[in-house]
Amino acid sequence: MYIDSYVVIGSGPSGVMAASTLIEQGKKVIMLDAGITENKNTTIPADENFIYLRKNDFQQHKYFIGEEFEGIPSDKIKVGAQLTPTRSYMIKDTDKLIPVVSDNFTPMESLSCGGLGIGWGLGCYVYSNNELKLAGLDADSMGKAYQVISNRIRISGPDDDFCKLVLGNLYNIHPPLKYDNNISILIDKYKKNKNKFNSKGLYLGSPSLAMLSEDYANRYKTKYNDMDFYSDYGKSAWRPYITLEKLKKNSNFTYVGNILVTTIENTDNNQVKINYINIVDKSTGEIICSKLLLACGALGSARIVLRSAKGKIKRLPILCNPYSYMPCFNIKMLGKPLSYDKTSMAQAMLIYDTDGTETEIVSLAFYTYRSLMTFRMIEEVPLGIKDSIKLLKLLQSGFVIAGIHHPDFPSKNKYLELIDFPDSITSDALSAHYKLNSDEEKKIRKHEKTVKRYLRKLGCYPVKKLSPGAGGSIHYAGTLPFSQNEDEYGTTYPDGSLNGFKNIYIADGSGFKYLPAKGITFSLMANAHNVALNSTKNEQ
Amino acid sequence: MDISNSEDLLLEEAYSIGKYFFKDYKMTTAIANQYVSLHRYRQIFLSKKEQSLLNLCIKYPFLFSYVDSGLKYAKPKSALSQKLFCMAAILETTPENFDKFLLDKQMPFIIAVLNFILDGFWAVCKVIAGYIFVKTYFLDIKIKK
Repeated sequence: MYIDSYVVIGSGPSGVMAASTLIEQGKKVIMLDAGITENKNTTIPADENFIYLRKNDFQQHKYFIGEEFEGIPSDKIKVGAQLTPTRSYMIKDTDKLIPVVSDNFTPMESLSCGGLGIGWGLGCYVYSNNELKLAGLDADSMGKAYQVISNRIRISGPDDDFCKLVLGNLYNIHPPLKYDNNISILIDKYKKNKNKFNSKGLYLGSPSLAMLSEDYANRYKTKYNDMDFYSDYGKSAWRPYITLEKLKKNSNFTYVGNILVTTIENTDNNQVKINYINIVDKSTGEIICSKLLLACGALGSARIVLRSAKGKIKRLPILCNPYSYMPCFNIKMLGKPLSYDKTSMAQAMLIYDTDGTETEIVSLAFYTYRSLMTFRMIEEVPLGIKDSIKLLKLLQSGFVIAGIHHPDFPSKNKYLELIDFPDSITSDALSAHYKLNSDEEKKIRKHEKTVKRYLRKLGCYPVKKLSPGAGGSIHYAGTLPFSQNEDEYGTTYPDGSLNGFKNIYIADGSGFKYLPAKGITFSLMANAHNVALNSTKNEQ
Repeated sequence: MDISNSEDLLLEEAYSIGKYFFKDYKMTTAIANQYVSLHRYRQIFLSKKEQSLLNLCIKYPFLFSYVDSGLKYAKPKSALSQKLFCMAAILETTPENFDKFLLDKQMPFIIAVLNFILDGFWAVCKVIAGYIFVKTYFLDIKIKK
C-alpha cells in the first residue's frame, strides 16, 4: 500500500511533537503506533484530594493497590517502582513484544498510546549551550524549538534567578507551583545560605514542570490534590494524549493503532517501505510512504535499525543516566503532617554544576512522600511490618526522596545487539550491556558525597541510597549518534536523517552523543520539532 | 487441592493478622473479600513449617510480633512475610484504618521524638528476639565445631 504522507512511528512525547510540527507545516501525517490503552475501567472520584479519598472512599483499593493487586510490589525497589495500577498499562506486553535480555541493564519501554509520556515526571529543563554542544545539537535551533514546545505544553517554572539555569531564556512560563510545608523548610534554609551553596555550584529552586499553575485553553490549573500518580484530572499535567486528541481532530492526521513496526527499507525510487506486525491478529503487512520519522525511543529505533541493517550493523551504543534514589529525612518535620494541598510531582530541584561550566551537571529532583502509600516503603525499613507502619506514620511526612541523575557519556562498555529470541513475536530480542568504568563510578561517588554534605546543611539527612540498577533512570539516548561521516551505518546526520537510508529521520533521542543529567523529555520534544522541520525541507 | 488456601482458613488468617496489626481491628466483608481475592491473583502458598508457625501465632497471638520482626532477616522472602505485607497494603487502603498509617494532626516535637526513640528501641529488640526464635523454629542454626 502506498501512502503519499509522512509517517511518524510512535505516539510518545517525541512522536506527537514531530507530528504536530508536520501538521503545522501543512503535511499529511499518518501515525503508526502499537497504541496499547488501558482496558480496565477504574474510576477515581474526580477532583478529590488524596487525604479525602483515603478517609472516605471505600473503593480506594481499586486504584491504590489495583483490582488484581498489581500495585503491591513483589520484590525490592526496581525500575518503574513508581508506576501505580492506573498507569501500569504503560509497560503492558513489552516483555513479549519487545524483549530486552541483559544481566546489568533493565530499561523500561512502552507500547502504550502516549508511550513513556504516560508516566513522565513532567520535568522540563533546557540544556545549556555546553550540554547541547556535547550532545551534538545546534544551540540556536534548539533554543527556538524549546520555545515552540513550551508554548504547546505550557510549563510552570521558577520566577527567580533559578529560572535562567533550568529554563534559559524561555518566556510565557506560568508561575511556579507552590511548595509543600516540608520543602518550604529546606527552601528557607537554602535562601539563608544561598551564597555559600552557589559558590560551590549548588542551586536549589522550584522545578519547572509541564503542569499548569494557571488555566490554559481547555486545561485547568492543578488543584494540588496529590493524586497526580493516579489520574490526570483537569489535564493540568501535559501528557501526549492531550496533543494526540488535538491532532486527531485535524483532517490531515490519521492515527493507526495495533502496529508494531519491525523493519524499514528504501524502495528503488527512494520511498520508504515499512514492514509491520499487527499485535492483535499477528498478521504482517507493509506500507510504502514518502518520508518516515522514527519516534519510538532510543531503544525502539535501535531495534528497528539493527533489524533493517541486515547485518551491516552488529552493535549500537547506548546512553542512560546513572540514577539512584536517596531517601532523606527533614528532622524539622517530625510530628507534623504534610500539607493537605500538594502535587505529587517534584517539589524542588537541585542543580549541582560540578565544574562551574554548566557541562557536567548533576540534578536532584526532590519529592515528598505520601500518595505512593506507606506499604511501598515497608520493605526498606529494617524492622517488622507492624513496627515499620508505626514508625513510618511518625516519619513519613519528613521524608524527602531525592532522585539523583548523573550525566552519561558513551563508552565501549555500553552497547546493544540484536539476538535470536524465539519466544518473542519478532523472534529476536535486544541484548543490552551497560557497565560504568571505574572513573565514572569514582566521579559519581565523589559528586554524591558533595551533594550529601550539602543536603545535611539544609537539615535534610540522607538515610540510605537505593539504586534500581542501570536503566532505572528511564532516560535513554545515543543509540544512533550524530555524525557527519557519510555511509557510516548506525549514525544520524545532524539534520536527523538516518545514515545509509533515504527519507528516514530519527525524531527521538537516538542521535544525542551525550546525555545530560537534566530530564531529557523536553529536549526530546524540541529535537523532534527540529527534525520534523528538517524533514520537510528538500522536498523531492 | 491445597488446603492451606481454603477460604475458611484464609478468613481466619485475615482476622488474626488484622488483629495483630491493630488492636481495634474489625474485619469487614470488604477486607475479607480482598484477602481471599489476593490469594487468587498471587500464588502465596505456605510451606508446612510456615503453616505451623502461622497456626502457632493464631493460637498465641503475642508471638506474631516476634515472628513478623524475625522474618525480616531470617526469612525475608517467605510466603508468611508476603501474607503479612499484603495484608498491611489491604488495610492501608481502607478508610477506617487511615489514621494508623498517616499522621493527621500535629504532635508536639518532643512527644514525637520520644515515640520514635521508644518505639524504635522496642522494635529493634523484637527483631533480635524474633530472629533467634524464627531461626530456631526452622532449625536453621548451624553450630560450628
